[in-house]
Amino acid sequence: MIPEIGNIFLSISASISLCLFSLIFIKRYVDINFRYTLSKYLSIFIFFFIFVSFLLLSYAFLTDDFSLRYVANNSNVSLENVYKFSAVWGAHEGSILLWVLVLSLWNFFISIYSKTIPKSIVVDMLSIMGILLLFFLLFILFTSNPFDRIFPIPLNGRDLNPLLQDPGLIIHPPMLYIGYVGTSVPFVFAIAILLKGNINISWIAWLRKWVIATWLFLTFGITLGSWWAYHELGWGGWWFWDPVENASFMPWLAITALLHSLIVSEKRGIFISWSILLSILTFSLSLLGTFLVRSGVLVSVHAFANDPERGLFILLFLSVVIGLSLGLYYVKSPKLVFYKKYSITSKEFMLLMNNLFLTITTFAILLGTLYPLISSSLNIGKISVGAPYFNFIFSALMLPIIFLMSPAIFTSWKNTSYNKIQKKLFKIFFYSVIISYIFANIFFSTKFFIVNIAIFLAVFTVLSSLKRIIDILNTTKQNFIITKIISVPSYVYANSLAHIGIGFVILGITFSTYFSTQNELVMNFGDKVNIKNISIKFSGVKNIVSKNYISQTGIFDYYEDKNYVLSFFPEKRSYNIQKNVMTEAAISSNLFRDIYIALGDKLSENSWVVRIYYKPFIQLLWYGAALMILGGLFGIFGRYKSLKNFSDEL
Amino acid sequence: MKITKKNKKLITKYLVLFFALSSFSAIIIYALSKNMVYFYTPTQAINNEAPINLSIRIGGMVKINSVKKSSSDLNVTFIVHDLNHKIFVHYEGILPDLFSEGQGIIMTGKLINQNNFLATEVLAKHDENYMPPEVADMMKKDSEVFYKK
Repeated sequence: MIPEIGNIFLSISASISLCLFSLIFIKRYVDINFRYTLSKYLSIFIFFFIFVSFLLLSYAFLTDDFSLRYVANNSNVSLENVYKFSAVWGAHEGSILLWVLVLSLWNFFISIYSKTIPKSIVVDMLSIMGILLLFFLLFILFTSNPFDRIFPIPLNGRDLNPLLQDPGLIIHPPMLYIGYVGTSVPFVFAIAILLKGNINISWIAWLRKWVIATWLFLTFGITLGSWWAYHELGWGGWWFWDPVENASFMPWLAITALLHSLIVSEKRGIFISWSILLSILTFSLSLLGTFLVRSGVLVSVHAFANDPERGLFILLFLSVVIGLSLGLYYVKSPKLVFYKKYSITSKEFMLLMNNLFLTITTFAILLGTLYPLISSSLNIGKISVGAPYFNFIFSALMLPIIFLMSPAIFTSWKNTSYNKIQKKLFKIFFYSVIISYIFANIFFSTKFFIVNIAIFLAVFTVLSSLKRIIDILNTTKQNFIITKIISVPSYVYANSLAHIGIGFVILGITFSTYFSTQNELVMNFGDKVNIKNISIKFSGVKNIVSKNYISQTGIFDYYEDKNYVLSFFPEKRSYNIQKNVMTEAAISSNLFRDIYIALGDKLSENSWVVRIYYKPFIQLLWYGAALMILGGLFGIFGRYKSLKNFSDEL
Repeated sequence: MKITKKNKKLITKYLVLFFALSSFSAIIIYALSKNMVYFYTPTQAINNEAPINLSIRIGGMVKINSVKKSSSDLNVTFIVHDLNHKIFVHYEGILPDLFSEGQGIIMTGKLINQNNFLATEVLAKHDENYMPPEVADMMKKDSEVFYKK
């Protein structure tokens, strides 16, 4: 009975979404206040019904209702409860349901937190959300219904893919989806503005917070995915330029560009038409990502069992969305183009460069991701574009704008004298050169010039962001250090923390890529491996039986300068139901290095293939991401009152 | 059109834009052309349709009972086949968890000669329902030929 209710609720929310959408057509005939109130209630109802059907599906999982095909395929009696719950979004049908749930949640939030923008815009935004919701609900109901029954009812389920039975995977998809789907907010805003044909600058301040929130979740989601890959896949890597990773990374780059262009739009009233185009592109990339993941057209870790019909459905929707919104943009955007003069040393120009490079990088990654598809559909040949392409493109296009980040934060609007920038950065520049030289050549003695550049840029970024905060601290009139710290406007913290985060991420990437020690070797019980001043001894392997898997757990003792420090327990798990083998790496981390041990194949009773990696400073990657997220939080919740006192800083 | 000061500025602007965009495109196209890896089947390799000693991908099924692991180092050899032909694969490294005999895989590496492949990377399918599209496609074509016979 419960699944039928779920089905009915989904159908009800689809019809409410249609009502919500239709509000856009009755503009002329119905009073705005009525439409506004109605749209608010409709949004609440949509969210409520989708949420309840989501709960019903979760309930089906928790109570092992294998009469549902989806539950039977992705769960099992012996699965731990927390994984039964996360299995709800462990495969296609449920994850699309999560997609819609998140979309309805964003819709609901827009309906609540939009007091500062006119009602007519809000109603239009909600109506456009209505059509998006309607599409995805129909998509669920017709092509991927998680409430479909199966007959005969199996006694037990086929279990959740063991790759997904990991704590990181419980929250990675929801976080990523919140970010992914959040790109719909700037999209519906852009469409509403285009329909209206004019814009008030104060509305952009409203939009910017939503964009920051979306960016924040996207950052968090991608980081979690990366962190999970590092711990779970057993290769010691954290980014593979897999098409699906790219699918989440492209919207991230685009929304990062949008974040910056909106600053110009808000403060100077220019780049508005561009911001709107970027909003449309960001959402299109997000839809494209959904298409890539769901259609299975590309080789990927994330490709589930696929059905071409679903891909076609999304592809059609994608073309309609892109076609219509770009058409609308073409007709209406000329009214939104404004010019103001600014020099090459102005903040406007710096942010323009930021947008130029980010957009081109996005495009280059898009090209590399889609090229295999294009070439195989044109029958040129089956090809793949490997990681070297992306690494090259990414470093070639990112390093210039990272260099510009430091001067950019010291520029003012309209124009800045070279002297000012030079005065601020002259010392910092030399300190950075010296520090990075010492690190790259004395501590680590690199052979690669690019390492010098990357470390220099990272240090330069971190130091100049710190300097900006310190400069402001020194000029405030407050007496106490605490009041001084509080008096710094939060946008400065937001910006500085995020930029320092980028610096940390670059350091993490560079050190772990160029200075890791990787040992892949055959070890017998009792064998030792020495890396620098540490040695690792392979003591043995024991069998541990768990609820739904059997683990062969290696025991590695770790000695530093011949003193025993701790033991590692990497595992090779074989899951009972899907007969899959999974590697669980054992990692010991501190600020300076990770030691990463994973078991490979068993060769004989007492000899195994083993991976031992020593990765210096890889933790900086996660710290950097955390700083970026913290910066985002400052951006959303920060006070903007004190802005006037620092008009120079803007 | 007179070359006024305003026009001059405009022309410079467009020239700069043009050069910037063309250099970006040049970088991207160069990187793309350097890093494209073509996909071949064992049959194509045997028929000399695949280049020797150039980075390529080959996909197929791992032949049952063909995997031979060295007991002292990481060398592995095995046979990958489609329905018509087979090639010998040499690989040094750790095979992915989901690699097993009788399964579809994709490898990146170089052909030493028409029936020996030196793999640098081995990708196995990621869950039991999933097969790399290239391999699925190839198997489908092969089986069509097979049934016609």
